[in-house]
Amino acid sequence: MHVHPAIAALRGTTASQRRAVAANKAAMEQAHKAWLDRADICRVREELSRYGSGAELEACEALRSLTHDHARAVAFVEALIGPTLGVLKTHPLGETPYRFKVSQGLATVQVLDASGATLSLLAYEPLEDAQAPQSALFSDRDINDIVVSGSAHGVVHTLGEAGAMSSRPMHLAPGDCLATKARIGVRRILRVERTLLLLQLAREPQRPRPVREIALGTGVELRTASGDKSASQAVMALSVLGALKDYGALNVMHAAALNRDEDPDVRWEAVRQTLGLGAMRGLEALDTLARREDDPLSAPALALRDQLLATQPDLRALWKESA
Amino acid sequence: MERAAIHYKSLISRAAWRASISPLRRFIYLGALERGLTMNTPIIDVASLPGLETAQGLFGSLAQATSGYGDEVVAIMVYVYDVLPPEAAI
Repeated sequence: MHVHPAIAALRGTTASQRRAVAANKAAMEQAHKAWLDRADICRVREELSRYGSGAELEACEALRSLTHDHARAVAFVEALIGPTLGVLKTHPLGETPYRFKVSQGLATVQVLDASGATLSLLAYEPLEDAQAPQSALFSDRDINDIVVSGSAHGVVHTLGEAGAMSSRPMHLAPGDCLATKARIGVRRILRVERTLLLLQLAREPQRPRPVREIALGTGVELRTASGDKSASQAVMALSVLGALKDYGALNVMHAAALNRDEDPDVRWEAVRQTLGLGAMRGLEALDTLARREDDPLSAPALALRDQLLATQPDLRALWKESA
Repeated sequence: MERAAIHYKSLISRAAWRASISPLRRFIYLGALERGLTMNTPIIDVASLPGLETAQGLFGSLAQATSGYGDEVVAIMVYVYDVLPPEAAI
């Protein structure tokens, strides 16, 4: 097994490990802070926050030019990568302070993040077995890309008012800009010629609407998935609390089930888990929902309440007793 | 009700709390709560309860369905490194 000499030198000595970690962290943080404090970056951060809160891109001059002016985009990327690489040269075990993700052929680094808007670097590598996609995903994100370097072939799909999809092939080269509108536009990178580096400005609403998968040939909607990460986390949290038999969470679940501002999938999972933990509490929630005619969960709650009362005689007896 | 109340963080802290209490306290507190709630009440199997007709997939569940570069859904995981050696934490 190959062990990097810098790591081998730290083996067995916790004091030097601690010092090394602290030194790496301090050096990286210092470089990061110096970059964040630059006047031009301060302005970009301030505008990013405004853009995330709903301002038009035209009203954010620095941000707009960053994603439309190739020279500025290149200067931004150089000012970001240069100091980070400088620290990595002197501290090879340092951790970069940015969120990142590496998947097949694609590396993403989230550089700045404010009020639902993000500025990221995306690097697409050539993929040998890239297959032509059969469908496209339309998500609730406004995206502005500028090609910093590299080249690739891709396609832009746009949904018309009647739901018809039009597709336009494109070739991307340095300086090219792409604006993709949330929910009606999607751009796909299909074949990378030379590693494609994009600077991407993206914006998502606080509660993004569902992601839709639409078939390319027919325009038929195949599936939808939640676009709201926190809602899906809540669904999973509810099912884990139920599986843990956490009776102390019953009140929270009951309230989530009745909360009209909550995501419908979260509410229904709360209904199911409440029924699982305490049948009577769950039945109470179902009954309340069933009586609210203007609630979107009213009909399924009524159906489930009647089904449970019809099929479970013990439950029906208890329910009559409590009524 | 704030969604924060059923957020991951509160789930994790609840689970950690439940795991950390002693068996005796668990018997006294949770046992009483659980016995009180489930006594004479029929148990409903959650798996037997239907989902919504309009149910959607979980966030990110479509990402793997399409081939090629997975750039449609942004889900960046944050890795938290435990940088203190165990001895230092004691």
